[in-house]
Amino acid sequence: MKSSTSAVLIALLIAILAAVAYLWGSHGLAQMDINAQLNHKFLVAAYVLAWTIQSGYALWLFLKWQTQKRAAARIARDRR
Amino acid sequence: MKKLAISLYAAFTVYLLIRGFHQAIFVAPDESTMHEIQRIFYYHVPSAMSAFLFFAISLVGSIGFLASRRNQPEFAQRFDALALAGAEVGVVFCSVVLVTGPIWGRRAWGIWWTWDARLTTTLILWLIYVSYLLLRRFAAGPQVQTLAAVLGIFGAIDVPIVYMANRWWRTQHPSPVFFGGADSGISPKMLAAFLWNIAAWIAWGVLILGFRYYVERQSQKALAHEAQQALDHV
Repeated sequence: MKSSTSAVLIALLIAILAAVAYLWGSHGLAQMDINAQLNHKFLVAAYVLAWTIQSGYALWLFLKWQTQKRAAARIARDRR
Repeated sequence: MKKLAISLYAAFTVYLLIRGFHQAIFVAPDESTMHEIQRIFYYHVPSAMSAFLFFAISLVGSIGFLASRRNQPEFAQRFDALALAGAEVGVVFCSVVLVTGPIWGRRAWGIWWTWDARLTTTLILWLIYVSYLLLRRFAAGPQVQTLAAVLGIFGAIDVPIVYMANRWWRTQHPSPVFFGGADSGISPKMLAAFLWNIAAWIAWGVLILGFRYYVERQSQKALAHEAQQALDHV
């Protein structure tokens, strides 16, 4: 996988998580008092950060695997 | 056939994660004093339990490596890959615990962090396994795997201390919800949401553990191949 494709995947993941944080974080705030608003925003932050860590690690692992596959293919080609 | 089984398992894991999220946010009832912020519990506690499980897997890998490194080097390499994968996935889950906990603490206690026994031992656990991963990443030489295995075993000793911390000492961290005596436990609807999330995060952890193990084994095989080629040239 090329580095540009990796960058696109990372940007896509960040965009999805940011969109979820914004849309879910601002959902229904008008009907809440200040305490409930803060609770809601902190909850969204916790869930989005949990997903950022988990999906970030999964993406890193996927990119590592792709790099490894590319290196193995190069070695096989050189041997031939 | 193997690819199909992995795909089915991955699809099942995604289903569990969606179901767990739905249960935690839309089905579980609001807690009477903490309200919405209590829902962090459905990610925080399953992540902590998953971290313990994966550190235990790392412990098994480390012991297995030390036991078999002289007599069965091929098995030792498998155990070593398992130890590394377990430690790495455990650190990921422990990071989630250390991020979600302070967010809850800021709303519930008014502070991000306090040096109580449960929080401090959890941070120490995370630091031990981060140093394990740094050792694996940056150290070189024939003894790295052995040193890492010993460090992995030392790190695992902290797991029961973290678990027992809020039983042994008076802590600001809430008292145990499960197996904590007569006053512990949660309502059945909350329990259902909790169990769905436990199942979901363990399934996810096993999936990425398997993937990490596979990647590490491929890396070991490539290194062994390179070493063999170098010997052939001599």
